Amino acid sequence: MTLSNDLLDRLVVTTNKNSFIEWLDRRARDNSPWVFPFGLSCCALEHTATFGAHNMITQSSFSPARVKPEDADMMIFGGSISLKLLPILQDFHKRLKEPKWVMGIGACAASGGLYADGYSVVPGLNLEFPVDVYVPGCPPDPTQLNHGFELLRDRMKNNISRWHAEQESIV
Amino acid sequence: MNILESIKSSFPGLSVTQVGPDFELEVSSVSLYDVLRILKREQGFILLLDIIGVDYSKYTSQPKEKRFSVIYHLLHMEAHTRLRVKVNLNENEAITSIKDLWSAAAWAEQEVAEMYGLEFEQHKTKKLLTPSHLKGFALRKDWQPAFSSKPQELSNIDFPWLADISDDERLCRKVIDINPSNPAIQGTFIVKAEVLGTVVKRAKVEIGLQHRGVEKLCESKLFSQIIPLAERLNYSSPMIGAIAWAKTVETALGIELTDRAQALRMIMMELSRALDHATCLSSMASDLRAWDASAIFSRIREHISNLFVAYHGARLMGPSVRIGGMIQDLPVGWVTQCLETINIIQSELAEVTSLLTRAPSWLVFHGEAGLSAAQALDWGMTGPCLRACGVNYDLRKNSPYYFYQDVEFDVPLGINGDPYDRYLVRVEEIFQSLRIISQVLDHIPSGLIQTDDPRLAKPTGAMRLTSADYAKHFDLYQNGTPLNSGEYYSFIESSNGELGFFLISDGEGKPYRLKIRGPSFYHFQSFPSSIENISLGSAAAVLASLNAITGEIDR
Repeated sequence: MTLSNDLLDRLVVTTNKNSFIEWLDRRARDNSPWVFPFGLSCCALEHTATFGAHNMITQSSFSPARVKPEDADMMIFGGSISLKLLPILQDFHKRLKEPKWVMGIGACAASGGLYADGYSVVPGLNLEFPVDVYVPGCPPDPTQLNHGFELLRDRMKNNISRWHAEQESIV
Repeated sequence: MNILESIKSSFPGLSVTQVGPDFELEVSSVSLYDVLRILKREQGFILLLDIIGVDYSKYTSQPKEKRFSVIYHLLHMEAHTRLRVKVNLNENEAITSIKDLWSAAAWAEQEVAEMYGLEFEQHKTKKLLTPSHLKGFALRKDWQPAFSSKPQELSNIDFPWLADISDDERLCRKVIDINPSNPAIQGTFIVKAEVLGTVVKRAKVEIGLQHRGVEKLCESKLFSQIIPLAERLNYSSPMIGAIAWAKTVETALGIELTDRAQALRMIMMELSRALDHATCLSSMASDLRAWDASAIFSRIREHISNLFVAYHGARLMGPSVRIGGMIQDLPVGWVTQCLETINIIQSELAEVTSLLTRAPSWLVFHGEAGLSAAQALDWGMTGPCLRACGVNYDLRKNSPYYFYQDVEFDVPLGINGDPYDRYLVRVEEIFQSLRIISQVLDHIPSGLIQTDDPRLAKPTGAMRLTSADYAKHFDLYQNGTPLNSGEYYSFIESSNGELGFFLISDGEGKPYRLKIRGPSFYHFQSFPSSIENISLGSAAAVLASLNAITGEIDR
């Protein structure tokens, strides 16, 4: 059998380098997104409970427990954003791998929660960061967190994020 | 001779008064240091509980000559009495630092200086909790939030090289920065350590990253609205904080709880204590790479969380504590579920101790970075960390509240005050908590779970409510329950130590000033000096075993 052009087309997919890497990247992200968990208080406990004890987050393998921001696809933030913490948090968000996804856990991240009247917290994560998914609750329980992760993974599969939207609006 | 007389004979010129169960002593700022030294050395007030600042400028019920007061709260550990030494000050008067009497005073003084703008001599006043660009002094009564236009920089700890180390040594040493993004640490604080090889030479910490201004918030909230805030102080044992706050208001109002409410509170507190210790040990085990033990401890957490879900529907933060009792009675079948869970937890604890207690990788921490009892008292430690040093002090035994004098339990003690002893004490305390719960469940009293005191109770039960009932109801929810002006202190043995609420009332339904004594604040203060000259691995063990809860440190 001679190697005809027709056969070559059927066996080989030609593409350019960048789009191939992007495809691979997205495949890897869909199957096992790496999470940078930045849980501070009560929400962190529920977050570890979700990761640890009785149910894994998804059926497929998820993420190592402790990841550096540079390696992570998304950041999970739970807890109050105090003014002293804000520069550190901005630094972490800057260091996240692009494209970035952010998930806010709990009332404090969503709106400042109980402490919104206080002098030392930012009333809402969205004032400073592009947030994709909020999980309400004080603190939310593992089933709610699971649901939040599912929503976020849907957005990841379709490559939608608030971060993208903000980038486009800047350009 | 009792304490009151002996204080009076030592200081004939000063007035000592009794406020409830505690004593109060007023001194001038000049003689403060000497009075405190005599109280510590000769009178036996060896533990500094807290330093509290108060701004009296809007205190209407009893106008004061001078605007500020600084209150030093001391504990006599043999007579179990508390003494408040009060100094009255004006805005630009300086006050002597007592850092060399108690090491614990350092952060406490810094906090007072930061919040009220008072000056402590021999003390560099640097901000401890609030961000650097916040202007003014947050807990003053006339303060409005204001920020300087200069943007806040990333909090950077100034870490100069020691003058006496040579150039050769300087080449070997390096400074490592452990901030919250570092995978080696779980907690919201920054630790900077100067390391030679793997041995820590010096360390500094930066706290305040979770400072939420709870004490300022509380000044604008009714007593009943503070319960959720108190609950979120130590979030790994939420019910204890809520109950401690409710107990403070109840003792201040002089309300007697029903027997059943007290028993329910004891059950919930002991469950929370077990929950807290399991959380602490789980994170300690995972920090030290004992994964299977960590998994078992988090399983114990799950069991207790399930009990809380069955009781009030929430896993962690419960809506069930009210001032004057509890809101919900135990649901049908809960007692059986609880007894079953106790059995399961006991067998799982036995399993995990058989894994850990004799494990070589765990015994490494035996004798590393131990604190002596004197050092622990100097740092103001209470609770399991103090008992791990061999000091037999448990508020449930020494100043019993609720039915703690009627149940049988032992107070586990350590010897060396090292991470290994703290682990042993915490595991044994879980066993003792389970013992208390099963005793209470055996003899649980019947009756109401809410007090029917007219100052708190809602007018329910009648078929038709009159307009007077509605007016009372409205008043209760609008203005709260007024509390006679004065000072009140109440404490509880929380899972980390003495959790105290110091409440100053101005005759309203809101606190004029509320100071929270979180045990972790004082425990964590000892951390930088206690890890000097030990390896980095042991430093992680020390940090995990201290159970430093950021909600309590930063408030």
